Order: sequence, then C-alpha cells, then structure tokens
Amino acid sequence: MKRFAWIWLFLGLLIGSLPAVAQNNPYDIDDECYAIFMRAEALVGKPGFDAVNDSLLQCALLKKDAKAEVLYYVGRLRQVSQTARDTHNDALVDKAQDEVKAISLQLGYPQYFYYSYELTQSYYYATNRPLKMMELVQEMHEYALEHDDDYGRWMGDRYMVSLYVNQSDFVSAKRFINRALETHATTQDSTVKRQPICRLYCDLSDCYPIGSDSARLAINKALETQDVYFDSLRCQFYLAKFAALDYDLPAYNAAKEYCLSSENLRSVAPAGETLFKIIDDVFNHTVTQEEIDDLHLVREQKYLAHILEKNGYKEYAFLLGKKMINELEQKISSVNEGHVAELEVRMGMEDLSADLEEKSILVTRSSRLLGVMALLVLLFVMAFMFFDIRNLNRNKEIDRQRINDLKEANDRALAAGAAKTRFVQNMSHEVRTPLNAIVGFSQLLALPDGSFPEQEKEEFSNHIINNAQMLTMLLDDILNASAMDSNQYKITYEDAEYHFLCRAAISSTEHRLQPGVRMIFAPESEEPFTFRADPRRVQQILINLLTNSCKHTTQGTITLSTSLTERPDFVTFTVTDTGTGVPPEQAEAIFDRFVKLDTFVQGTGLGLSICRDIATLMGAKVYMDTTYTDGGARFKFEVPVHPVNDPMNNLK
Amino acid sequence: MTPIYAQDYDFSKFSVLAVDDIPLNLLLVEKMLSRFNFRFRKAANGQQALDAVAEEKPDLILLDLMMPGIDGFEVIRRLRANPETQDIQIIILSALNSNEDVVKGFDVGANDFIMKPIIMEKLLSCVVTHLQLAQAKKG
Repeated sequence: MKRFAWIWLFLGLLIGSLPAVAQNNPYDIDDECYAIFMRAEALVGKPGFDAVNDSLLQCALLKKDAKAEVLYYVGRLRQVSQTARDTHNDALVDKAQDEVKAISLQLGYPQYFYYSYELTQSYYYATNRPLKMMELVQEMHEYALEHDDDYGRWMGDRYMVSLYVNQSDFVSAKRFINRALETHATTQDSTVKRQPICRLYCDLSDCYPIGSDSARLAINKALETQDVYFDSLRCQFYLAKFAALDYDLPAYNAAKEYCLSSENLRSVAPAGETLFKIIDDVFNHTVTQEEIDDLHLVREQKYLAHILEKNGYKEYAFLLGKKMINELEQKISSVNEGHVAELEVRMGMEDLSADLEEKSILVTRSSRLLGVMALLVLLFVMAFMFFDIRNLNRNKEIDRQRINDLKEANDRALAAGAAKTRFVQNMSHEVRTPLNAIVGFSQLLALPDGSFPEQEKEEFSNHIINNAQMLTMLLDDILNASAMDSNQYKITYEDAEYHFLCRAAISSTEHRLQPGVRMIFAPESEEPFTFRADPRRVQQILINLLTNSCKHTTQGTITLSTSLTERPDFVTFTVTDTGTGVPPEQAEAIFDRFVKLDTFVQGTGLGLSICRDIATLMGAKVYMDTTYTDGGARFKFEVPVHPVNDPMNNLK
Repeated sequence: MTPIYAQDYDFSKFSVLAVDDIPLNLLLVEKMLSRFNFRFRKAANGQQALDAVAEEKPDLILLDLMMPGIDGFEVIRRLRANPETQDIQIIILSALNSNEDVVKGFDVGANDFIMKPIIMEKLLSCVVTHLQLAQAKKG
C-alpha cells in the first residue's frame, strides 16, 4: 500500500512539473510516431509493450524524428523499471538509463536526461533502496554542477525535498526547499523559471508545526504562486485541511467539494479521499478506530491527530500519535543514516572548497605580516590544513572519478545506441540473405523435370537445408536475447558429463567447417567426469564458440580442449582456431550486443553477448584469451563444478 | 500468351556480369539465368566488378549493394561517370529494402531494382526487358 502511494506521489510530481499538456500531440513528434507512442504508453508494464515500442523506433528512424527516437529509449526505461521490480535486476535498469542519458544528450533533449533519473529513482524506491536513490540524485546534481545547469540543480533539490518530506525529516526538507526556491529566483534558465513552485510552498507548510502561522504563511505564498491546474487542486486540499482544523465548516465544505470533484485528487494526495471521509465522520461523531487505522501517510495522520484532539477524540488522537511514531521509526531504521550524511557532505563539497580557499588566502597574508613567529603558527595551521586538504583532494578525486565514469558510461551507451540502430537496419539484410537462398533454390527445384541434373538438384536441396538452419540460428539468437531481457531465462541443473557435451557440440558444428579446415577434440584426460550444470546451456555456448571459429577460419584447424586442472573447481573448455583472430583491444567489445568485427560475415552480433549472459547466470566465465598470440583466436569457457545457484548444492 | 521469360531468345551476342560478395547468391543467379545463352561472368566485390568491366564491357550488370570495400552504389557512380561505360544497363539485386535505398539506387543511376529474396520470374522478365533495351540502344 505504501509503495503504491509513493508511485502516485511521483506521478504527481511528474505531472505537476511537465508544462500544461493538451492538444492532440503534446510531445510535438511526428503524428504517426505519436500514434504508436500512445499505443505503447497504454501497454507500459505489460508483455506486448516491447513490440509496439520497437515499431516506434522504426517509425522514428524512418521519419528521422529524433525526439520520437529518444521517447523510444525513455519507453524502454519505463518498461524495464516496471518489469525489473520483481526480479531486482538493477543492471537492466541502469543500462536502460545509460541509454536514455546518452541518447537524450546526443540528440539534444536534456529534459529526458533528467527524466531518466526520475524513472530510475522510482524503481529504486519501489525496491526499497533509498540510499541508491540518494546516489542517483547526487550523480544528477554533479552533472548539473559540471555543466552549470540550473535545471539539473533545481530538479536535484526537488528530489531531495520529496525524499526528506517522505521520511518526515522536515529540517532537511526545509533546507532543500530553500535552496530550490533560491535557484528558481536567481536562475537565467527559462525552463526552470517556468517550473511551478507552488508545490514547494505546500511542502514547506508541512515542515512547520500544524496550524502554526508559518504553515499558514507558506500556504498563502502557495496560493499566490499557483500556476498549473494541479497547483490549485493541491492548494484547495491544504485549505480544506486548514479549515477542518479551524472547524470552519463552510470553508471546509467548499474546498472539499472542489477536491472531490476532481479526478486527479489521488495524484495530488493519495490518501485525500480517505482523509475527507474520516474528517466528515469526526464532525458527525461517527468516526471509528478502524477507519483511523486505515490511514497511512504520515502527513495526513498529523493533521488528523490534531483534528481528532480538537474535536474531543483525545484517545484516538493519542493512539494515532503512537502509530505515527511507530511508522516513522520503521522508516528511519530502514535508512542507513550515516551513509546519508556522508552523501550530503559530498553534495556540499563545492561550498566547502570555496571556504577552504578563503582560509588559505588569509593564512598567507598573516604570514607576511607576522614574520618568523607567524611562520611557526602558519606551519601549525598548515599541518592542520594538510589533513583537511588531503581529505578534500581525495574526495575531489573520487568526484572526478565519478564524473569520468559517468562520461565513459555515456560513451558506452552512445555506442550501444548506435549499434542497436545499425542492428535494426541490418536485421532485414541478415534475414533476407538466407531467405534468398531458400526461396531461390526452391524455385529452381520446382522447375519441370530435366531442367537440372539430379546431382545438381541434390546440391540445391543442401543449400536450402543449410540456409534454413542458418535462419533458425538467427531467430534463436534474437529470441534468446529477448528472453534474457525479460528475465525468462532459466538454468536447470543436472548431472552432466563434460566429454559427452564436447562431442555433441562438435557433431552439431562440424558441417560448418570451411573446406580444408579440420576440427580436433583434445581432452587433457580421457577419464569421464560428471558435474552439476545445465547441459543444454553449456552445449549452446560451446556450439556458439565453435560456430564462430568455423565462420572465421578458412584454413588450418579448430581445436576444442578440456581441462579439470587449469582452474581448480572449474571445468575449463578451450576453443582455439587458426582463423582471422581478434585484435586484443577488441577482446571485450566482441561480447557487447550487436558488435560484429566484420559486417560482411553472417550473423546478428548477438551470439557472444548471449553466451556471456548465460555464463553469468551459471556462475561461469567466457572470455577471449588475450595471452594467446600464435595466430587465430582462443576462447575460454570456465564452468564451476559446484554451481552456487544449484539447489542440490545448497542441500549440502 | 507465353510469359516473356518463357519465350525463346537469342542473346548469344550479349554479355552479363553478376556482382555479389556471397558466392551462393552468384550461383543462384547463374542457375536461374542458365536457360539464356548469353556470356555470363561473376565478380565477388566492387573492385572485381570494375576490373571485369574494364576488361570487357558487359551489356547488363546484376549488382548487389552491400559489399566490402567499394559498395554497389559506388560502382554505379563510377560506371556512370565514365563515358565509356555510362550506357550499361544496371539492375540492383539487394537485400536492402528501405525506400531510401531504392531511391538512392535510382538516383545514382541504376535502371532497375530487384529485392531479395529473388523471385525467379521477376528476375527473368527484368533481364529480358533490359537486354532488349540494350539492343535498342545499340541500334
């Protein structure tokens, strides 16, 4: 229930912060793209979403609509941040966010850069990790500072306000509200200037004791600054609460009617309706203990406690107060306060470093004036400062490191985005090539008897069969990748014999050998060895490695060898070929999705990336051995003998 | 009426060049056109295609687009820029199928565009038409 409430809170924030949207195509993208976008919108969180969203990308690329392209990546992030909630697959969410960050900056829509943080945060909130949320805010804040971007600073402060208000830490909330208001007042950025600040004043009102003059002043300020529709709704909700507190029935009823007549009350105040119902019951003297127990948001509880007390329900008010304290304690214990404090200090870094510079200037001046005596004092001070500065430098180093990391992540996501675009464009080519052989040779076979000699006809049939297999592998790759994305990939552990797996892999790849190339099986020992693994997956990876070697080896040999001793507690499979090889600097890149060293060799560029994903799921490791330099390439695949995830293993 | 591709033609005076980096595609085109008696040559990439044209000017080129090195578009551009070779009939055979690629193909000077997978009847009637056009040009 509480999680649910938070989602509404975020939704409210989002809707409140977007400029008023109306018209048929508020995103101002191509109409056809917009139609697809709206269809995708309706499917967020559901299985059909990806397909519709993919067609959005196609449409965007076709129409060359950059914004629609960005919206495709935003859509992916939204989908992933929903679907990954049950599985806690952070990597997927982070990756999707990196993509949005990179693409939005690259194509010039920085608002989605910041929006990606909002979506990612809501994921971390839903999976109950406030610390990770704070880190995200910090990262965003750093980016904003680095780029001197008031919008980012403003959004960062807004998030902090939401976080602290939600934790009922009103002292901290107040600090960030003031900072956000100051940014808003002093900024030159017209986007920030246009942002509604009414909500901040409403939050500010909550930071003061209920019914106090300061709280009322804040609401008056909110009324003055109300701008978008949600603002007036929110203001009316506060007015209703204040009127109830004062037992001003006409004012309370008017404001209440206004709120209840709106469909959007839940977005502004998730517990609004319940609160009104209870207040009505308090005034009619029909209120019950159960009703009060059902109200969960601390903010509304605070008001209700006061209203109950003023209307003679002292016992209920007391019980509610106790419940509030319990809920708060739970919340606080779930947050590692020490870490939060540390993060805060780092957020305030810039102020600190300015202070320190001032200090050192003062110290230098005094040294000139006071001579040797002062020098001693200076030395003392310097010694003291040394530790301070060293600390600060270290922190700065960390910060610089983080910014660099962020930049690298951006670059990586850019490359990934470009690779994905290439993939969509290439896909039709990849599918059509085997299809061409299948369709073409079938037509030749369908010609009247006598058109071709029997021997040639047999050759045609073989071409058809080979290409059909190629097409099947291609489709398998795509299906595997999408299963991996949606976490439908399951590993089933069984007893597996390693040489049997090798022979099976060899027999299903031998026919791919190019003429004159030999495939050799070279086990370290002939002894059979049985271990716990998912035989199908191990075989799949071996087949993939061998198939790759076949594609890239035009002469010489492809060797599959095994070892139980190379890495203790692991079965090591090694595939060595005498083919074109891989430059060492590409050794890791080839495991990325859609990366192909040679565009003109058949394949989707998904194979190795799938291998790595599967290996990771099994606790295994697949990599290119860069120490091997004898021509060709060597890949290693190390599978644990006692996999951690094996239920049998856990029984022991 | 007998379909255009099923009639008998004497193309013995003609020469056709097929260009594709995938050998199987070349084999397929060769087999599909085997009922015609023109001289048939093959090239595995753009450079080989240009060399083959320099060696002996064909009447018709069946050209793939996506090839390593000099791609199909570039081959057409170079042939059209040379007065010696600018009148060769060129049919693109490609798995690239976006409108953009088709338009670009015609822009650089292709005479026709056939999408892969190749439908045999389409290929044959297309080849017949363009060889007849080539003959008309020769006069």
